[in-house]
Amino acid sequence: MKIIRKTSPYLRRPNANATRMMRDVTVALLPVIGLAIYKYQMAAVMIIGVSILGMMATEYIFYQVQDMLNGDKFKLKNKNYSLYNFSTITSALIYSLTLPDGTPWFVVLVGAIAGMFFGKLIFGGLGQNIFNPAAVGRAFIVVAYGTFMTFSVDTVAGSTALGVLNDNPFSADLLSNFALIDLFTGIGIPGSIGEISAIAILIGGLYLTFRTSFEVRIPLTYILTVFGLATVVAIYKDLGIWYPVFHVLSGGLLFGAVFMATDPVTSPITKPSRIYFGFALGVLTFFIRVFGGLPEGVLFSILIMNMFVPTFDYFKWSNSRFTKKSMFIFTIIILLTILLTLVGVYYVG
Amino acid sequence: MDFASLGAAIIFAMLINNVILMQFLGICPFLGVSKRTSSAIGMSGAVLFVMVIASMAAYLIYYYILVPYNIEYLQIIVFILVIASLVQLVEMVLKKFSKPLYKSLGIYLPLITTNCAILGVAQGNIISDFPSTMSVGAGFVLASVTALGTGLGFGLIMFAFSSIREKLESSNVPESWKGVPISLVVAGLMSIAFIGLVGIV
Repeated sequence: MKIIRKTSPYLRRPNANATRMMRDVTVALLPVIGLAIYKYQMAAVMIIGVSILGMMATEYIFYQVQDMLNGDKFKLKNKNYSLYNFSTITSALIYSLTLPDGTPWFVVLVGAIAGMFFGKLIFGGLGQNIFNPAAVGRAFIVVAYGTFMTFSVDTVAGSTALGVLNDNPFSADLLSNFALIDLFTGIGIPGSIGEISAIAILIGGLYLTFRTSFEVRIPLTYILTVFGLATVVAIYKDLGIWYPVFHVLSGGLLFGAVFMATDPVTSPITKPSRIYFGFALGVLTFFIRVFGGLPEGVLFSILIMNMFVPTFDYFKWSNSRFTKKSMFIFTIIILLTILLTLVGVYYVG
Repeated sequence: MDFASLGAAIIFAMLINNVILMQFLGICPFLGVSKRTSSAIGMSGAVLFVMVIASMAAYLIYYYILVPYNIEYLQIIVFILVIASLVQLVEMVLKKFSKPLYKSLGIYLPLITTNCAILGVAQGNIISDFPSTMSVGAGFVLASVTALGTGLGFGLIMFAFSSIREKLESSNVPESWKGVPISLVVAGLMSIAFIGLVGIV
């Protein structure tokens, strides 16, 4: 007997289904796409177009070949083909918007194919994947073609905001190159094509929140964790309030928190688990940024935590509400994390 | 030698230089015993125990027996002997106290003897550069802490991987990718994800 288990996204309300959710995410991405095209023009159009075409072609060919191997007749339309519920387009848009503007087209194409194939199709299609397809594609090309992914930097700054942060994590010089208002609007700073503007991402996030197509706990906990840890460091190093704000606005944190971490397939099922998930994402991102060798930690922390989602959902401790015991353990973990951060900052200097 | 460097050694061995995903040691139990979460936990416990005791014993034997008699070239044979006798001990204890776990581990329990992760940690403690710069006592503490971190990292990844495999068992994977192939793809993606942690500590 063949059992097909329905995995998340679950049907919670009559009008909440995968198509509506994915269409909402696509709509929420429109301001980000608009700003990316306004700022980078042909480069952004090329990256977005190549990744959409690459992902859709991969999926189309995969299902046609699968049908051929099963001995079915050739049909132009295939019901497995998830173009019709917007999920492929959503993945492709999210993937392309995390890329730097100087990425050559073949790198974009390789990442799109790898992300679609290894991230989603061989797990059985929509709703069955372990890792976020967009994050898989992005990580694949970071590892394989890292040197091709260049930012067209301005001559003033010479590097992206997080590149500067990675070289010298606790310096007040950061503000002289990157004003907070520039990081907020995204005009005039280098960065990945969709991650530069905080305000466009926040508009998308608010839209998703009002349409309830979106698990708001994960991005809130994620951003608050990074903000909190950066505040602890700022108090310890006597840096002022701009430091946590800088951490939240720079890099892909907002984009990753709103659009990548909230993927309903690759996030935990229960509400407390989602809060722990967001917390762990924030801690990993902050540690990779401040202590790690890579400038940006959002992508890898999302991949690492995707890997632990079945662990969060493990039946022995996954609980649909907060208990006294879990609150107690969670508080201790938060305190330990703060302690670990302070010890790390003390030794890094 | 202070607590911070010991903690850093644990975190480094557990997450950043993870034995499975970064050093590619111990792949045999990683793929073999990870079908069920319960047997993965049992296996991780057994590996953790053997790893810590074997690293401590190997470190002491190396510095108090092999070095004074100038027979360091025997280290691999001696270490394997130590590991094999410890595995026998674990096997006897499990057979007496937990028959189901003993059955579910099956052939993989005696195979801990040849688990390269354990020999790798014992060997790595000796060939890495820290013993030459510190006293035997401090090196011993660092070696056992490294073994503890490595064992914990092994257990963490085993547990995560086995819960992923339990989830995959009920998902709609294409016929040709079912079973081991999809597990290998997942392991590769996990390994890519852990590259992000390089450089911390």
